Amino acid sequence: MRIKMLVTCAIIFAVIGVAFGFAGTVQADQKASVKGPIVMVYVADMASPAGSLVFSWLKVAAEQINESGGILGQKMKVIAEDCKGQPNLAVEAYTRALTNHNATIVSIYPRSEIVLACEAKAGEMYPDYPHILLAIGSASDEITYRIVEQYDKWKFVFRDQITVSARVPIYRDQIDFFHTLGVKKFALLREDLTWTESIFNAFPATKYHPAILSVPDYAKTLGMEVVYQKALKYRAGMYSPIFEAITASGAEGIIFIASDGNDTDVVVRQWYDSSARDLHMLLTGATGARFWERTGGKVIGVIVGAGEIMPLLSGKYTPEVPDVMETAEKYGLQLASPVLYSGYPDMFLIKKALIKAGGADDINAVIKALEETEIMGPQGLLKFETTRIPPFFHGAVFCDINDPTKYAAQGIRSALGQVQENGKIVFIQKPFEGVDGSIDYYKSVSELRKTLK
Amino acid sequence: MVKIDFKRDRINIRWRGGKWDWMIEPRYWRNTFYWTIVLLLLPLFFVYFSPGMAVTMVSANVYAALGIPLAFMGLGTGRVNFGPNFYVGVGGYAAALLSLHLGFGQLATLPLAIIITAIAAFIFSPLVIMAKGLYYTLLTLLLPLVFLEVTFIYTDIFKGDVGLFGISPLVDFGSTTANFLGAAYISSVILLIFLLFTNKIMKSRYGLIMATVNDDEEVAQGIGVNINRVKILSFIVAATMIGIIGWFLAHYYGTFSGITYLPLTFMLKILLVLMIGGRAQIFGCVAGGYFVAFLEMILIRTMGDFQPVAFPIILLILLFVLPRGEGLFGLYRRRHYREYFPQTHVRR
Repeated sequence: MRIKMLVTCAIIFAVIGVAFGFAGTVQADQKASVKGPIVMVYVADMASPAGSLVFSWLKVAAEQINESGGILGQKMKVIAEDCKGQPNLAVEAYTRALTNHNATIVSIYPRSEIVLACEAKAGEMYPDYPHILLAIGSASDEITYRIVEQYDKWKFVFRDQITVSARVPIYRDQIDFFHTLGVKKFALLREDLTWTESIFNAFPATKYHPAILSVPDYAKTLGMEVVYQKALKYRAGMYSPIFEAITASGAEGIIFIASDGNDTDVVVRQWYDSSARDLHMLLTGATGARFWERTGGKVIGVIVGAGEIMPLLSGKYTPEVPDVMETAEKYGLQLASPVLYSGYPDMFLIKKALIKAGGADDINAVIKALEETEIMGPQGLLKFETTRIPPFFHGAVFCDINDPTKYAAQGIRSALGQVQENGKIVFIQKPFEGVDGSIDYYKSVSELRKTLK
Repeated sequence: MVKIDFKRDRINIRWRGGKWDWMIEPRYWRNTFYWTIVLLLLPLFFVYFSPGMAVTMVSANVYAALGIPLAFMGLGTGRVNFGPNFYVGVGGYAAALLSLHLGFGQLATLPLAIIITAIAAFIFSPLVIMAKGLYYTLLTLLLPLVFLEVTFIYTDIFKGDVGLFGISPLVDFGSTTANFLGAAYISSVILLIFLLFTNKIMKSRYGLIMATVNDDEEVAQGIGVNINRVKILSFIVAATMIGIIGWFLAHYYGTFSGITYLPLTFMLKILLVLMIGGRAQIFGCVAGGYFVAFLEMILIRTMGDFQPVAFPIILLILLFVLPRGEGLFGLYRRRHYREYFPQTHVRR
């Protein structure tokens, strides 16, 4: 009996050993052969709509890069590793990306906690597996802290999203816009997640810049008043009572700060049927080209972050990045902020940096090239911050790091738009020189609503 | 004077008033011994051939090590706790906060995480006396969800959905391979200690008392068992073991967030490990943990978009098909019924 068990164990180990040995040999052969493709592994929750959408765009970008000759003759390959939104599976996927796929770049989308867990593992593995970690869509400030503190250990970490602290200009823009419309009293709603709390409470002073006013305090400086303020549970589902309370508070407008995954379509539908329906409504997180369809047109008149739904620049303005609208149409893909801000243009930035570095063999050269490379993408100039100030370092340039309340002279931009007839989004701010946009295009909600059949 | 008696199946050691039995008959130790060897060889095997599998193994050990105290708690309290992840949260946050604010290393946070989890478990232990059935289920189910809300309300402390990061690492040998091995062995050792501890309790007089409580509280009380003490002790000990896993997770990932461990999804996975492995078998938790972790990994790598659907479907089918209460391990147990395996006497 004991012998039988020992033999069984030996056979099992032998079979598994042969299988793994074979896999290892294949991998070794691949490494030894003529240069294979440059591999990017994309770690994300593939069951989430945004997770799979970004992957589709990354694949299309790789296809377009390969069609145009690749990177110094090397093809680019994107592989997805599903982490189901769980840190333990993400760390497993990250390890596989380096050990099994021999990845040059590992991108993670988007939850900051997952990025932070993978970042810790990446730091351990980097000496043996030099690579680039690219956090796609993760806004948490914490991701970049350690890059500043220990550059040599964490220099391979980049983040293509606008960090939370860098978003102050967006919210100032929104208040300024309401101010221009003559709004004196407004309601301020935010989804109850950590990133919005940082925005609404004053940013504390750091050794790099003084404290930044909270959103309500900034409104006060313009003679405006926040008459209703509430943190709403993420995907709360029930907003009607809140809209009634807002009307009772005497607010003339509503600002709701939410992220991509929130149920902003539900918000819009309930707002449309509430007594607050004629108030100015400004909403973030209304992502996706099909937002109009999802709300049955009830989003008409709502002010949105235009860049969350459509490119601010395309075609002739982005010579190194294919026209996003044309690509979307050609490949039947949907547009959304994770794609527009990052994901798709990232691939062309990486291509440019890899060419500059002479390929993917020397990661230090790639890191240096990434720090120096810039590219005009659908949301403006995409480049990484190189001044070692947390939390901006190695993140996409957005605000002026000397005065984080203002936009950087060059960088990614945000611009407000209004959803008008048939879901068309009209810029009510001028995003870039040469692109049409003006507050004169703004129409009242009640006026626009008359156009609905 | 130590007196040693050699019996057919055991060695009796007597010293003063105490007596210890050391089982020497192979059927009592052979399986445990073989599987321990396999468990200790696996990290070497994985690290050499596929380091990613070593990470999956750590997850499997974690699942198994969570299933064991849950089974233990179920036995001693006669109730199924639907919120064991609450104690993962307590242990994890305790370790993370101590590491971040007081600069404690992983060895210093361990005893404190154990003490804090034990205190939390003691505070909530009256639940096993006050409630049973659906009420107990609901109360235990709510605890982690309330804690999750607390982590969102007090973001200054718990950092809400982003979580705490920068926790001192579990191991840092300066080499990827050594770190993989270190983490895999620490998780394996925790699992083995849990198995050994639970096995000892199951085989002891106290295990029998726990089984009587599980069978029928009134009868147990009738024969002189202090059922409240048994239930509270079982609850606290098991919850503390779960807290140790929270400590492990915090240091292993270097980040800890309630949104990962406190929602129902994580808790359901642990319950599935218990049910599929076999809730009546202590070793079943190991089988369940490894099965769930590796099945998930294999499906992710092979089934693409269909994986999120396939994983729960396979688990559901197994829940119906496998022998009730005995799970995967029950299949093996039926073919090797003469061999000794620690078993929980589960009715509820």
